[in-house]
Amino acid sequence: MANYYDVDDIITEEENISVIFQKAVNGVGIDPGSEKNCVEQGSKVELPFWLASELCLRNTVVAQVPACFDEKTRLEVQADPACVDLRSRSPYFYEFGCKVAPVTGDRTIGFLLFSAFKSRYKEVLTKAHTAANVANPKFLSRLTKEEVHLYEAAQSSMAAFKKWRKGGPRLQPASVLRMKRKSTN
Amino acid sequence: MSPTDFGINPTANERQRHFIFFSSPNLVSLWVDRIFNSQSLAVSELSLKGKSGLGDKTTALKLEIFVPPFVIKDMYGRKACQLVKEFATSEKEQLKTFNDDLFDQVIKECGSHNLGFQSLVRKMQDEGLDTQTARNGDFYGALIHHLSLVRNKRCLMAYMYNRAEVIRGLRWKLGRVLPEEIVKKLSNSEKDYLKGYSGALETYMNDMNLELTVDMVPPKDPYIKVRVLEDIGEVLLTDKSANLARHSMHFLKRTDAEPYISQGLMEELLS
Repeated sequence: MANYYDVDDIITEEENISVIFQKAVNGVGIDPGSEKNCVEQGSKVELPFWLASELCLRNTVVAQVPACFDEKTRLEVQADPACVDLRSRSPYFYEFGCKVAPVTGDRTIGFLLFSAFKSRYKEVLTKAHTAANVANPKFLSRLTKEEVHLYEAAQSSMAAFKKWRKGGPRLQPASVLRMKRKSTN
Repeated sequence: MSPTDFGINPTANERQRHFIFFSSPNLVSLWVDRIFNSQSLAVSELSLKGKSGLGDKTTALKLEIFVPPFVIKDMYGRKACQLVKEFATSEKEQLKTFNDDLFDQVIKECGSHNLGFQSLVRKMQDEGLDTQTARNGDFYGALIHHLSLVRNKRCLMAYMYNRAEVIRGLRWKLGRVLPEEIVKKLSNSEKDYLKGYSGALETYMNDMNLELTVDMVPPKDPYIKVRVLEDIGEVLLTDKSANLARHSMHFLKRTDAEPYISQGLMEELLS
């Protein structure tokens, strides 16, 4: 399990997943379709993942594969992985996929994630090294959180390398202050 | 009858405006009570406009209602996650103002989960069921409340923990006194925490007789050339006293200059 305090992990688990209740549940207001505070057996409800996975373990609900791993996405990833807008599907596509796979029992998700990541990884690094310092917003907007981190890491290591070769000031104001000055000017 | 019979969309997210005609005034209040209160739709503005002329004796009333954006029941844990998201969207090593309001709302939600949990457990006990083994609707309800509590706790803890981490980082980078605009963003307990942490660090450094916060970058030379960016004035440095006026240049001991550089008051000059 990821770090308890991990912000990204917490946000990943907030993604919705639709489940079908196998048991009736009383006293909770999680079904927007129901007027009373209860959930009937067989009703379909969108739950955040953290709740759905725990209920799934106790056989209270059956989880369905979320829309971001549907057939359409798979076809697009097969066709040209680098051009698929994964962020609009889920900003935490890979992490969410890893969590969803055991819960839904869908064995094909792993392969989908792996093949998507493998080919996109190459693309991200090439772009990071060649695009110089000009951010490419159109390209960046397609990346998931994980890929953006990769992109930034690649760029900063490139910058650090250049700086090392050329030399330059080594002491710098704390980054917090630099941001402030930029915004006031 | 339900609001949908009158063209009111109970799940719409925008303000809706409707006109409904009634033949008598006492029907109106009855209708509002029965339809809207039962659906827990709030009607914010009601205006009644008398309109005569439909018949000799009956007076038709035009009821103009505004239905405010329908508030969908908040999914459990949604607010807590918002809090965490807010932290996540702030720039690296930057802090946003402590969100007291949302924080309290989450605590309140925890309170209501606790109530829900207790009442369901009590209900099971009243029915003579064993809360350890019984698996009925009440049990699963209590379970969901329990899980939501755990989740909310995790979100709140993560919010506090990650902010505390940033605050510790600021102490190392900016020194004992933080700029006013950063202090403003801290909650009271965070201010206390900063004070305590700062004190502990200083005590340790005094005991060890070692300044830990300087030389974060390995030095090449004990002395460096600096240019002063903002008026600092006459200060006593470890080896001499110097008048650090704006735009003046100095040859200072690296350890003296480092705090000023990290606070943005000086910059290092390269020969």
